[in-house]
Amino acid sequence: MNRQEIIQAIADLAPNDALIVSNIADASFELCMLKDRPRNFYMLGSFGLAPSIGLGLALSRPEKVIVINGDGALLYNFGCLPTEHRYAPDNFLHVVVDNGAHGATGYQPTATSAGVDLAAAAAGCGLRAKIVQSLHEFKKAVLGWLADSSPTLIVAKAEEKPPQAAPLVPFSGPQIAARFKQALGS
Amino acid sequence: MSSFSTEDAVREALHEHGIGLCISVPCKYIARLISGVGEDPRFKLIFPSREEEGLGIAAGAHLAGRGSVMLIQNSGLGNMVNAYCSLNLYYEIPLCLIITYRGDELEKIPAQVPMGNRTEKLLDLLGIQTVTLRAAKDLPRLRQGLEWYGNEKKSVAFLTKKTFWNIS
Ligand SMILES: [Mg+2]
Repeated sequence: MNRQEIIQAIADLAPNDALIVSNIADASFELCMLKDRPRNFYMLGSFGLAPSIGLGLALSRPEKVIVINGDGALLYNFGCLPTEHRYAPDNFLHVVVDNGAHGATGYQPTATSAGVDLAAAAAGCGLRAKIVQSLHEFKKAVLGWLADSSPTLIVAKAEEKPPQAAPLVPFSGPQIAARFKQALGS
Repeated sequence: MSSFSTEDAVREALHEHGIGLCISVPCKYIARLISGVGEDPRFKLIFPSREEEGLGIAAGAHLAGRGSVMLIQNSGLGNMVNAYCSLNLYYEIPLCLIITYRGDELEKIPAQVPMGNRTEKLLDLLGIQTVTLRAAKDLPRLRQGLEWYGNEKKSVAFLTKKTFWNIS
């Protein structure tokens, strides 16, 4: 499976009112291309902070919150895992698209390409974590979370990159934040 | 022991200004404030692993319409500079900070001093409105600053000296 298939599955399965936070660069570009909606927060800077932004949302709102993260970004903000164990409510799902590389900067290998197991690390932090190898398994895991809030972190082992790159997000930061807040009435 | 401490007054001011989420990488200067917040049902207290992560949580809370404050040391301010620029400044997401001023003339730990010397310049460079609080008599300036933060929707930092917290 590739990241666009994973993101398409999230877009298809997420409830209409779900809040989706996407990692810097490709994940945001692809989410915007595949299913742009005001309840998407495209994180275009602050590498690593997508799960933290998602946690702040999940702690403050009743809707489901889905974070689309990457392996490099999770490694960069690894401290988010113990924080999620301590504080994340049941409406929070952390998806890690693990392609073993820093895609946005030229596909330099990350530590997962050397065998680091992000799901095991997350489990070690007390999270209900699951690793999936196929799109079918991925969808099943998301449906499981929607049904009973487990797992709360899904590591989706992905191909290095999708066949086609997505265009940049056509909105500015203030536009993204303003329409997100407007959709939430916040 | 006074019946109404500086820490109590800070909690009241935060609550009155709509702040219910406190995110802290701790400092011993504010140990009493942190424990007070933890025991006060009007607040939710979170300890992130690092300040940068806390900044992300605060940004998410803001997007959801929930007021928050970060309780950190100035050393932690240095850990969140890029995230502040590319998230708070770029998206126009305001941030409220209560910062303990380590490495100033009252500091006992020399390693804190180089960051202390640069803290006010760093806040200025980041364009964060700064209110320095030196003693309990400065409490009205905390309320004024929180008022300004609520109205202007721009970041504010309360830079608090050891003496504000009655630490010897
Ligand atoms: Mg990657």
